[in-house]
Amino acid sequence: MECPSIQEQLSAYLDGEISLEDQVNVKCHLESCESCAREYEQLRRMTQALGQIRYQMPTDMWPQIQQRITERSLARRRPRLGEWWTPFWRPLAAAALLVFGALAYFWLQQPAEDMPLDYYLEAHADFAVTTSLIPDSMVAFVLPDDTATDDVLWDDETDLMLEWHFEDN
Amino acid sequence: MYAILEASTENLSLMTRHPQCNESDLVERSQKGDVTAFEELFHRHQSDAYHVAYGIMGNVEDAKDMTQEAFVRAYEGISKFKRQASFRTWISRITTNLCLDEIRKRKRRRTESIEEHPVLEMKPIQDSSALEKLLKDEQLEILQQVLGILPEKYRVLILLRDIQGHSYQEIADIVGCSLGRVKSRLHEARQELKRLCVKQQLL
Ligand SMILES: [Zn+2]
Repeated sequence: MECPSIQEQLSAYLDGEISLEDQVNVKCHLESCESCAREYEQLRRMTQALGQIRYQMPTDMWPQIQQRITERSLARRRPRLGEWWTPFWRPLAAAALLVFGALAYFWLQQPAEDMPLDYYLEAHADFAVTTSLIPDSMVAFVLPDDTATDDVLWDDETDLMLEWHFEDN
Repeated sequence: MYAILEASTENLSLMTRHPQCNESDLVERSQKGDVTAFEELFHRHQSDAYHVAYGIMGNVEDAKDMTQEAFVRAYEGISKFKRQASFRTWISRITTNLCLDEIRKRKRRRTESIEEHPVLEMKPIQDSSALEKLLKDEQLEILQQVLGILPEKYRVLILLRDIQGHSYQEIADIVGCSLGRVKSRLHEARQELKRLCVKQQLL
């Protein structure tokens, strides 16, 4: 094998994450090639040094976690209105509430007499967007199910996003 | 002698909390709503979540906030935990998810506020018991700083592998990508870190 292809495998070789056959190949090559052996030695020393780093954990994280758990479970309990509040009625009630809310909103802010209705509606088009009932934090985040670990979470797009974030810092 | 041992049992159990409980008991009790069992899970795995969060967010404040939020979400969704993976992997994955989501949100908002540079914020504690230190304390500190300027996409892999000691499969599960990608990206990450280390005359 050529040096570049060996060097590409050194990182995984170091972690014992390549096939037995490749391990033997790399090992043989390292015994006979000085520049690859030097490369490997650098990698090994670096990862060993990294392993010595111990980060200091913040010491006071739990009380706030407990507080958030309590607050949110209280907030969730509040809308429970009784037995009739079945999954069947929920969307209907939500729809009725929305219609009622929209009517009340438009009634309270009646258009000037000379303003055409569709012009008025256009002027208030952001109504539906800005009064979303769902908190922002709930929209995109989906709690992962540990049985579905093959979902792709991290792809090239994620890398690009992080690069953007990185430059921004 | 026996009495002393017995008397100190209570203090000991407070200090080490529930050393006798195995993880699946703790998970089961948490699923039934036992917050103290979940607190024990938190103490055992806070560093797993925190390292991921620090790797992606790059500063202490955000890392702390994301870690806390991850545990709140985990508690709320613990019924979704089917024990296919370890709790350690699961909480790390939730943290990854949350952090990426947070960054996406910030990107959307495109906040113009000046954010602190993430470099140099975390101070390492050196393992004083280690007899064979390859690098002096000073050099370890420089390495820490170099790690701080490594792009997030690389830093998170280095933290998961070289500091937290996860296997490639666990890393793939945590960040949600293929095994092949972990392999190639970790190689890139180490090459980049090595380049920076050579520049700082660490290697
Ligand atoms: Zn070679």
